[in-house]
Amino acid sequence: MEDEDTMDFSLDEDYDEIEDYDEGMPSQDDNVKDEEEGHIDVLNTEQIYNSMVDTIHQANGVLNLPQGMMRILLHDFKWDSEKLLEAYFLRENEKNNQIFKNIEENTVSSLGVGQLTGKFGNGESVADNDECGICFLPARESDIYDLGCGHQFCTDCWSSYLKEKITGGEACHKITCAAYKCTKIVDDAIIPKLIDDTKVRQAHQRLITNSFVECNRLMRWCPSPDCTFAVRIQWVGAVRNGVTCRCGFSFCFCCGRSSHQPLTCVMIKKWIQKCEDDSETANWIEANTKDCPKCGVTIEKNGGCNHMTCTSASCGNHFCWICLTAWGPNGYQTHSCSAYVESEQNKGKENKMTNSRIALERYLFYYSRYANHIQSMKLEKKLVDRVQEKIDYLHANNISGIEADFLRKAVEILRKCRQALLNTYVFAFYVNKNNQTDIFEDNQRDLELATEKLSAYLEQELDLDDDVFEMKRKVNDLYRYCETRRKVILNHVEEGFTKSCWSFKED
Amino acid sequence: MSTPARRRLMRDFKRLQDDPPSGVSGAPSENNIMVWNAIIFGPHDTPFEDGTFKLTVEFTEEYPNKPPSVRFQSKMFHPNVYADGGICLDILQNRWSPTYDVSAILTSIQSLLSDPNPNSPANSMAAQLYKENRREYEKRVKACVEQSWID
Repeated sequence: MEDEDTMDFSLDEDYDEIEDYDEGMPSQDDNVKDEEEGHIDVLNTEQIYNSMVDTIHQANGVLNLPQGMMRILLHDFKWDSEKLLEAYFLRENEKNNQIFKNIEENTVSSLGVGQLTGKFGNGESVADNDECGICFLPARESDIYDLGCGHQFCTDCWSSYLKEKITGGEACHKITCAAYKCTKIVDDAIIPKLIDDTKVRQAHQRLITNSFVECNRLMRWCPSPDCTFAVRIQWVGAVRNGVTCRCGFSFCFCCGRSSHQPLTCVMIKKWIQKCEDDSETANWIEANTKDCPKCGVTIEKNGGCNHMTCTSASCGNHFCWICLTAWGPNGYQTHSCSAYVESEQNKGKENKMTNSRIALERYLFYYSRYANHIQSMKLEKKLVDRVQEKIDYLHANNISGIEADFLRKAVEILRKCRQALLNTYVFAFYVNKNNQTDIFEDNQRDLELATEKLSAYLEQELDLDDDVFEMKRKVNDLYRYCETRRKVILNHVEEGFTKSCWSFKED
Repeated sequence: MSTPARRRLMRDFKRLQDDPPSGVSGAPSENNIMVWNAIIFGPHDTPFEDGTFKLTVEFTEEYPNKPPSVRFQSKMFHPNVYADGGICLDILQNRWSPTYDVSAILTSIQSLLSDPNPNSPANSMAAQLYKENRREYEKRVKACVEQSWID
């Protein structure tokens, strides 16, 4: 219910904004507002780090543990401080107790300097003469450190060990003592003391912020290449649909794929898998096989001879590969596929199609539309540049930037409509027909028509209109209609889910 | 040219000479301290007894923060040794610690000969025979031992 309410609300907000345009009022926000607005934050690297420190401080307000220890504990509890505190106060629980004891015993937040304690490594006593356990060189007492476990290493060796751990392949947010099987953990606070190289320090900071984002149920890295932002939601389940990063990339917060409304994460996953598996196979089948004209089984030609014998158990039909007519008892003599005859067979052919080929054709029908919209979306990326040119042109003609912004908005809406449209074909592929799907198909057609109109105008007719205000009126009308159609179809599908109107094909 | 890895390898060599572990020996190759030749003698009371198995140990400049790559040159029949002589041993991969030196590596490989781990086989045939037909396993190992005297 709550989701529906918020959806309605933000929808109104959108219309308000559009009305602003109507009255020629400059809008404050130049971004296209989305459904999820208000529920997400987009954070840059520094903000992520600060947010991590905040979370640690908050939990430490209650527990007061060393910061590094707290970070590792929070990591183990998926950055859910409430869960951590609950577990901490219920320590009689055997499992919880073990986690805390383990971390408390192993996290050392200060270095033991020259503590000549115990033995080392394979039992050799080296502690007496202050030898580093890694380079085996004697070291001054002030230059040798351990974590209270007696494994002493000199500053140089510590530093190169940590560097290897931080920048080496198996990036791990928790670094232990260098000795074999020693479980003492190197606290975050120690790292800057032992590493001078700012690049390595930064790499360590990246490592821990990455663990903060990856393990955090409220956060996700923007999956767009080269984007370093992360998106944070307010509470688990706050956003069910796509989120839009500051870089402009829209993706699903739950699965990280690019926005797939109105499909569920499971559906889009199934579809993508199917496309990967089937498209190649389907193309191959299309190119290399024919159906037996008698029993309809799919046949691959495995030699040069065109006299085919169907090996299907119940069939055994003899036919000509080229024209698919029956092979007479006398071979070529009674057979003339070289002559062009308007064939009657093609009409009856469909009845004989096997279920598998019907299924394949059905899949190809939806796949080709899906792939086609993806292709269109790629081509329409060019529009961004063209529109920018146009905006610059308008600027030069004394139209202010805010005024000219309707073009950028139109391109953005076009992209969103394409995205929604291609996903509706996947939905249509999986959904079982009923009365609601008729409405769905009507909605789909409307959206498709509206989208194509907008696309055509932006691509072809943009330069035909000399009158800027006329152009603006037209573009506004087109994209507003598109956006309405997009919302209608998405809301309809969404509503169908809440009212359980949809049933899906097992595939 | 002296680098931390080379200096450490010199120390390794000195420690190996000062305090030679029993049943293994090793030395840097003539003109390259980054490549060592080593010999592991088959441990007593195992089918590998009397074998003299040759290995090469190749270090990188990241040593001792990264493990060297160790390979048997002699033909081997052992559940945790690959056909090309590569060795499947935790301390040479994910359990590596920079506190290890050449002496510790060679000693660990020697004890791997006595205690194979047939559950993570590099040579499935050897692992299967080790588990199911110990006599045949020992026969195949013996053949390797005799081979090791020749090459």
